[in-house]
Order: sequence, then C-alpha cells, then structure tokens
Amino acid sequence: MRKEQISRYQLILLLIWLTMGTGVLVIPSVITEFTVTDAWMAVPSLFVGGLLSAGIARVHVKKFPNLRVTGALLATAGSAIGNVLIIWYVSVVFVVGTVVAREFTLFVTMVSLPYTSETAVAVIGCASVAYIAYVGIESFARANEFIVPLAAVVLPLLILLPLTLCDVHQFYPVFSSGWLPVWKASIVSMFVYGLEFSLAIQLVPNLRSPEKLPNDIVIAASISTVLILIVVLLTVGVFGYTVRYLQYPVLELIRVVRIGRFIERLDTIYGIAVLMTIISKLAVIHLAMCTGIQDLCKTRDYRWAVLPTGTAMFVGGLYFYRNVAQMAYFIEHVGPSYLLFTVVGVPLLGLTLQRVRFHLKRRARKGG
Amino acid sequence: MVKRPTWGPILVWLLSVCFVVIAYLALMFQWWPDFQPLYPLELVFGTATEWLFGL
Amino acid sequence: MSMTATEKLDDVVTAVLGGKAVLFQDGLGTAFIWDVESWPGRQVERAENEPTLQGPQEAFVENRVLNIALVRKRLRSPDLRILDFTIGERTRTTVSLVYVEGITKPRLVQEVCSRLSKVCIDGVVDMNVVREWIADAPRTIFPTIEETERPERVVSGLLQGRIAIIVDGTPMCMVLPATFAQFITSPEDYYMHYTLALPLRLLRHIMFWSSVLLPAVYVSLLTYNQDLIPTPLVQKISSQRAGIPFPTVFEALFMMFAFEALREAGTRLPRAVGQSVSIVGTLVIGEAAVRAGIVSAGMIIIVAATGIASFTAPALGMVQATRLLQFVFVLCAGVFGLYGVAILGIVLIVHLASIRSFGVPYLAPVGPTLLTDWKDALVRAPWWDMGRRPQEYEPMDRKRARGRR
Repeated sequence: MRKEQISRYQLILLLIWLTMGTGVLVIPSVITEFTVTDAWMAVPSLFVGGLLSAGIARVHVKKFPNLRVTGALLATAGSAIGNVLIIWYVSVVFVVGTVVAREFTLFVTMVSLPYTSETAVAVIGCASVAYIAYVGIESFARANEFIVPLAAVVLPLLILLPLTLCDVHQFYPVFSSGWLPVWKASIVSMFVYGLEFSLAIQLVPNLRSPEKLPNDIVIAASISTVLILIVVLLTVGVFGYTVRYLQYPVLELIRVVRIGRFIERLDTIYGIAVLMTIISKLAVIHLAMCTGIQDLCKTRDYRWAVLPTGTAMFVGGLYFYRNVAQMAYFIEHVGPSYLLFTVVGVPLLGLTLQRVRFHLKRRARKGG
Repeated sequence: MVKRPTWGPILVWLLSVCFVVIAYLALMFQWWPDFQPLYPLELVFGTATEWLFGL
Repeated sequence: MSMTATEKLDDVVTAVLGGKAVLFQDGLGTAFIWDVESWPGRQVERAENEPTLQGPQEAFVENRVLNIALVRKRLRSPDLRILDFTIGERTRTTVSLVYVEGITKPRLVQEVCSRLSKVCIDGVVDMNVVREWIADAPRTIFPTIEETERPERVVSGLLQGRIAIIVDGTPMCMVLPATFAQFITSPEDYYMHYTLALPLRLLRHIMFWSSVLLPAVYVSLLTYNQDLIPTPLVQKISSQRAGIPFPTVFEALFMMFAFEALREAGTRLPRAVGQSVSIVGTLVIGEAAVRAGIVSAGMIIIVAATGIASFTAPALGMVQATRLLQFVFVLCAGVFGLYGVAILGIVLIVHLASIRSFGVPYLAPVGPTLLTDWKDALVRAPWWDMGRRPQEYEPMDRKRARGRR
C-alpha cells in the first residue's frame, strides 16, 4: 500500500483548523466568563499551550522520527504496559472526540435546525467524518488546500465588517480585577486547546518532513492565536459586558453586521464556515483515534475501525453530555488536567518505564 | 508474511456496536437518567484541575 | 503506405483479416505485410461536439490511421512515438498509444502500457471499453480521462507531457492524465487573447459550481434559511409560492426530473424534431405548470438557469456528473438545509481530492498547491509567460519557451 504523506503547508492548515474548529466558538465565551475588559490578555495562553505541545513533539521526533504516539508508547513501555497506555491514549482521544461531536450537534441544532432531531444531525456528521477518515489524511489535506483560497476571500471580510462597530472603551479599565481572572481565563485555552496540537504527533508517519513538526506546531499555534485574538478583541469591542450572556458570541458578532438592505444576517454563512472547520477537526481526531486502535490491534490498516468508532464517538457525545452545561463543565473543569496528564504525564511515564526496564535488563545481564 | 491477529478488530467492532446500541437506547428511553458515565473522570480530574489551577 | 516484416503466422492471419496484403518469398522465413487496405469511412469533418468559434475546426473520424495522420500533421517531431496494441480477442481492434519521447515521463508510459496490456475482452466497439478498463477510481462519477475530437487539443496535450490513446473505430481520442481544471477549460481559451480567457474561465468555474448547487441552495433558502434572503425578495417569492401544494423540495425534484427527461428526449430524437421538443417542453410545459399552480415561477427560473449553467462546462463527462449531483444536493438541502449542503460539499471536495488520474492528483494545481501551474488553471497567462510545461505531469523536458519575449 502506498504511504500517505502530507506536506508542511498541509499540516499547518490541518492544525489551524484543529484549534479554530471549536476554539473560535468556545474560547471567547470561556475567557469572558472570567474577565471581559482584559479578555485579550488571556488569548496568548493558547500560544503557550502550543509551545508546550511543540516541546513534546520535539522530544518525540528526536527519539522516534517515524513512530506515532501509540507506537512510541509501545516502544518505551513494553508490550504489556504499553498496550494499557495506548488504551488510555485512545480513550482520551475518544472522549475529546465525543466533546467535539457534541459541540457539532449542539451548534447545528441551535444555530440552524432547531426542529431537527439531534440524532439526524449526528448521523449526517458521522457519515461525513467517517468518509473523510476513510479516504485518508492525504486526500483530506489536499481538500483543505482546495478550500483555502475560498477561506482567504471570506475570512478578511468576516473580520473587517464588524470592525466598524468596535468600541475601544470596552477594554477599559485595564486590570480591573488583577491578574487572577486573566490566569483563570487562560487555563482552558492553554491546556485544552493548546495541548490539542499534540494530536499532530499521532500523524508523524504521515509527515513528509517529521523533523520540522515542532516548528510547524509553533507556526500553526501563532496563526491560530492571532486569529482568536482578533475574534476576542472584536467580540469584546462590540458587545462589552453583554458578551457574557451570549451562547456563541462570534455568531452574534456577525449577526449585527449589515450593509445597506441586502447584506445582512450573514451569520448563516459564518456558521457554515465554522461547521466546516469543526468537521475538519473531528476528522483529524477520528484519524488519530483509528491509527491508535490500529497500533493496539497490530493491523496493517486502520480503515476497518473507521465506522464503528466514528459512530461510537457521535453516540457517545449525545450520551455523555445531555446538555450544554454538562459539556461546558467537562471542558472547563475536567479538560485541563485530563489533557495535561495525558499529553505530558503518559509519555513521561513511558520514558520512566523505559529507563527502569533498561536498568533491570542491565542488572539481569550483570547478575547472569 | 506476518501473522495477523484477528481478535482485535472483532473486539473493537463488538465493543463499539454494544456501546452504540446500549447508549442510544438509554438515551432514547431515558434509562438510568441519573447515571453519568464520565463521573469517575470528573471526580479525579475535576479535583486535580481545582488543585492545580484553582478553577 | 507502410510495410512491416514478420516471422509469425499469427501476425499474417491478423493482417489478412485486416485487409492487408502479405508478400511471401520462397526460401525466406519472413513475410512482408503491406498496408493496402482501404476501409469505407467518413472524411474529416468539422468538430460537432466541441465547437469553437476560433481555432482549427478539423475533427477526428473513425479511422485510426487518419487520426494519427491528423496528429502527425500538427506535430512533425521525430520524437513522436506511436505504440500499437491489439485489443479484443475477436474484434482485434488496434489501439495506438501516442506520446512525445523526451517530454512525457517514461514511468507514465510504462504504467499506461501495462494497463493496456492487461485489457482482456472479446470486443472493443468503442473507446469507452478501453477507458473503463484503464481508468483510475472506477467508482467515481467524475471523468478521470479527458476525451476530445479535436486533433490540435491532442497535440497540446502531448506537448504538456501527457499521453494520447487512439482507438480504431472511434472518432474520439483519450488524453491522460486529466485533472479537474482540465474539464472546465475550453480549447478556445488558448485561441483567444489571454485577457479575455480569464473572465470566461472564471465564468465557467462559477457556472460549474452553480450547476451543482443552485437548486439545492434555492431549496434550502426557502425551506430553512429564509433569513438569508433580503426581505423584499422573500416577500415576492412567498407570494409566488402561495397556493402551491408541494413542499419546495418536491417541487424542485419534479421540475429537475422533467427537465432531465426533456434533455434526454432532445438527444435521442432526430435533430430536427429534438429542437422542437425541447422548445415545446421548456416553454409550454413550464408556462402551463406555473399557470396551473403546480410549480412556482421562481423554480422554473432556477431549474432553467441550472440547465444553462451545466451546459457551459466544455466536457460532456463533467456535465453528466453535475446532472447527477444536483439531485443528491437537493435531497440533502431538503432534509438539512444549507448546513446539509455545506457538509455534502465538503464530502464532495474530499472525494475529488481523493481521486488520482495516473498518479496525478485530480485537484492539482490547487490541492496540492503547485504555484507555477496556476498560470494555466483559473487564469491563463500569455503564451510568452508560460515558459514551463505544467509541473503536475512531471514532464522530462520542463522548458516550453525560452524566457519572456
């Protein structure tokens, strides 16, 4: 079978969609929960999280230039404990996938199809994500490239149009209640969205130049940080404290834009753009999960796992988080330490185990 | 040629199908509405997040 | 008149069955085959299926030798190579593979040769038999091999580093590999001034996507996303739709079905009758349906506009694909609105990106990005600026022209 490979440019695009997908919806509302006037200060934490991911990626590609996370876990921790660690990793990716799948169904039902059952929305989402995962990363990355020229036309418009309504006074007073709210607001974007970049390590065998992965993560993180920063600045600048009462501040931002009598209510178009990025994000998560399962079952291909796990991901999303509040609680209160443990803790555990095994073996050899 | 174990894919399929059927039926007919499957995670990592970051 | 020598009796039999003369000589183990055959057939005529206003007008005919002569007339290079294959156990059809040595990638030639030699069937009555055997992505509805009846188009393909396949008995020629952008370009783009080619190509790209999406967008706008339509327009449309008994989806499906039926009838009927049928169909049936209150006038406009848009695509294969896709998109729009259309759109683009035609990604040069090839994708750069052959076909000799004028 031909090896599927993606270029650096394609990887950076995938990584940008990975954070922007739900980040553009969730990060503004999470940050403004803690602070409004200083909200923009919390955004660079996303970049810090990206740096953390890049650091881990650097260690990974130095030690294992052509293995994925799950392959590296097997190599370091041995087959018994390694498999347990892989199961943990896959389960975490699965849970992250359920959150994103739930965000997808919630977003579509709330924004556009209030009378359609969530199951139906989940079915169409699941079908498309499973198809994308089935055709593979290379075709998907190429399709992303195809969409970019379109996005390059639409994105500046979506940013420039609300600029006229922006009011600088919404950002005063600076440091209205000190550093603590800024720190608290930073946590989710740093440890949930920033650490999601580390999913790219699972794609290492598919990269044309894996040694450049850390740099690519940094580039993608900086671009996404700038984009999210613009979004947060605009939402706060336009709405001020009202932003706390909005479910999706970004959509409301687009909704207030109007030019003449014909260009108005652009939020549906914006919603479609967001939807595309969410699907893209889900596809990457799904691919990461399926390749992990491939390593677990030691099969040659991952495609047999696409349909069952994809369906499980969407049903799990509906089942685990019955409403918005449950999901928001999970993202804010469980997510940071959960992902920190998985992304930093589990590999460290693997490396420690490798050391221990190495010493044990040496001792056994000396003793024998 | 490498011998390919087949139990893995079968197990994954079985687990997924069982999960999908049970979870979806539970969702549709409101079986155990108070049961929260992710409660252990919430307990452990919720406490950890509070302890680490003060959230 | 050409002559070949052979030592095999099998070749002699084939030659005699093919109307050739065979010369034996006593004491010599070699037979000489002379091409003296003259099959009944058409003479070279105007290109009917790919008409252009400017440029050459000759078209291929059913005679392979004549077709090769038409190509050779335009490409007098000693590097032009013609490899013959005999395909079809009973029809014994000659299939010629044409390429320019030194430009075309040798691995591509090998690949096509190996695919051609694998074709094993009793008869080749049309080029399509061979095409379906050798094409990539056999399940897709999109054409992955370009077909043309214009010799000069074949020549320009050969000069890009592509391969042409001429099948005896078919007034068409296959050119491969092919990319998506190729099917939106018309040969005329190269025969007119380059500044005019840009708006025309842009128009064709927009028309292609609207032929796929227009009815679906209309249905979803009226069914789910009325808020996107400006208020005065929505009032107008809803007043038109008052009293129409069907949901917009069924109305659209009904009209599209009727339109497709008329189109099919128009092609099947003799030309003189066909035109009158399509006029009767579109005008009378459309008008009557609106009067009777079965469909709204807006829907007629949309379906007609879609039909016109789909005819702007120069390649027939692409037009057929859009005809089929319209229905899928309308169904999706009826169930999920604009969001359904968007999701299906992503799936479609991913599907297009997953296709390869003889190793060349279908969406090249946009996905993967090959910036130098953008000179001949959406825009067409002037000839003096296209110094390099398209990189997507990985030609051996990359230079086409020497610098700027």
